[in-house]
Amino acid sequence: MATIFLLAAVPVLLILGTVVSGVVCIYIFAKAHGNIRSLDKKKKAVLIFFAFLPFILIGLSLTLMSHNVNEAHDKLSEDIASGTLTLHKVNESINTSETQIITLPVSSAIPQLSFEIFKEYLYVTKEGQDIKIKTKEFADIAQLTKNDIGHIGFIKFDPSVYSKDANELHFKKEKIQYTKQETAIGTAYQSDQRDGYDGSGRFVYQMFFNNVDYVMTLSVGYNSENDLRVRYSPLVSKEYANNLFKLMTSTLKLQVATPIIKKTATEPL
Amino acid sequence: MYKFSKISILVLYPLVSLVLPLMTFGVLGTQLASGTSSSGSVSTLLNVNTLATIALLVLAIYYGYRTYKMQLFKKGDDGKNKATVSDYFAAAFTVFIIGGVLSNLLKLIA
Repeated sequence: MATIFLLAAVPVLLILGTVVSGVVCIYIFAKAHGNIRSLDKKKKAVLIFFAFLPFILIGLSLTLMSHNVNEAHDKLSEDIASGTLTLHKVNESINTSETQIITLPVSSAIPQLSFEIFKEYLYVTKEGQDIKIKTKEFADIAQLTKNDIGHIGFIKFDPSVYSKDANELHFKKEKIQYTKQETAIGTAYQSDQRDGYDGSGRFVYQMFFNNVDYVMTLSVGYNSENDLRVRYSPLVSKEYANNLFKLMTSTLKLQVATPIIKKTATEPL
Repeated sequence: MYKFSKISILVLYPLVSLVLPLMTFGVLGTQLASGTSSSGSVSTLLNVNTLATIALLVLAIYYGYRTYKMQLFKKGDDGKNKATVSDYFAAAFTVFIIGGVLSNLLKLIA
């Protein structure tokens, strides 16, 4: 708690300290009418102190942040070594020849979808319009609240606010490597999106359907042992995630559902 | 006009850089917490912020020009200049205002 309080308070103290230092320095400098040599020793000392105070505060806050991150890493290593935290690694020697086809329920607004997963090792759950890919290894472990290593979702969006062009602009702005493919059904993007931890990120497949304001997102995450979040999610290597991603994207079968138009007897032919 | 511009900069700059953003975030936070959504008040605050920033820029350019013409910060024979404490603060705010506008313009161009 004390650490969290310090981490939250340090940036505020830094900003306040910098503002106060700036005000004091300008005031003393102004009172001397720009001639620092005419200041007495006490005022010179105050000026020098407040001029250097922001740098001291920045140095202190960086040291504190670095110390806290190192402490968290050390604690994670200790917990793994002592057995307090069990680190699960996804088994890379799984049988990938046995697959299972998953089909999304048909809806007139959402295109049909079917794809293959590793039958021996993975299973899916459907939550509303989301399909989540989960590992069978963790299915019975209650302590792990998140045992999914990826998900497929259908997201409705406002075309006037978000679009494939806006998505592409985001990739370029954030310097994310991506590939684009125009298909008969829509525009597909594949990208490798790194996150804050070294060696962690996710492979993302997005399909912007033609004439349908839904985007389908398939995301498979990977992380490294330096990632402090492995306490809460299975450790998935980048190679395994890449293999899983390649399998799923190569076996996606997408069809756009055709809406059924009902004709009544009163309608002109 | 010179004194008016100086006092306006001294009063408006802290308002625009501190008070208005805090008010905007406060209104947004209140709306989020209460679950209501009213873009009217936020857009009004943003409009006020924009107008105040434009006014500040004009006043800052004018103040900078007059200060330069009056050679307020030029040191005299006694090694001291004629600027007062308020002039120093107004000059600092002028630098921040012009610097802020230029950096935003560069971001837009980039």
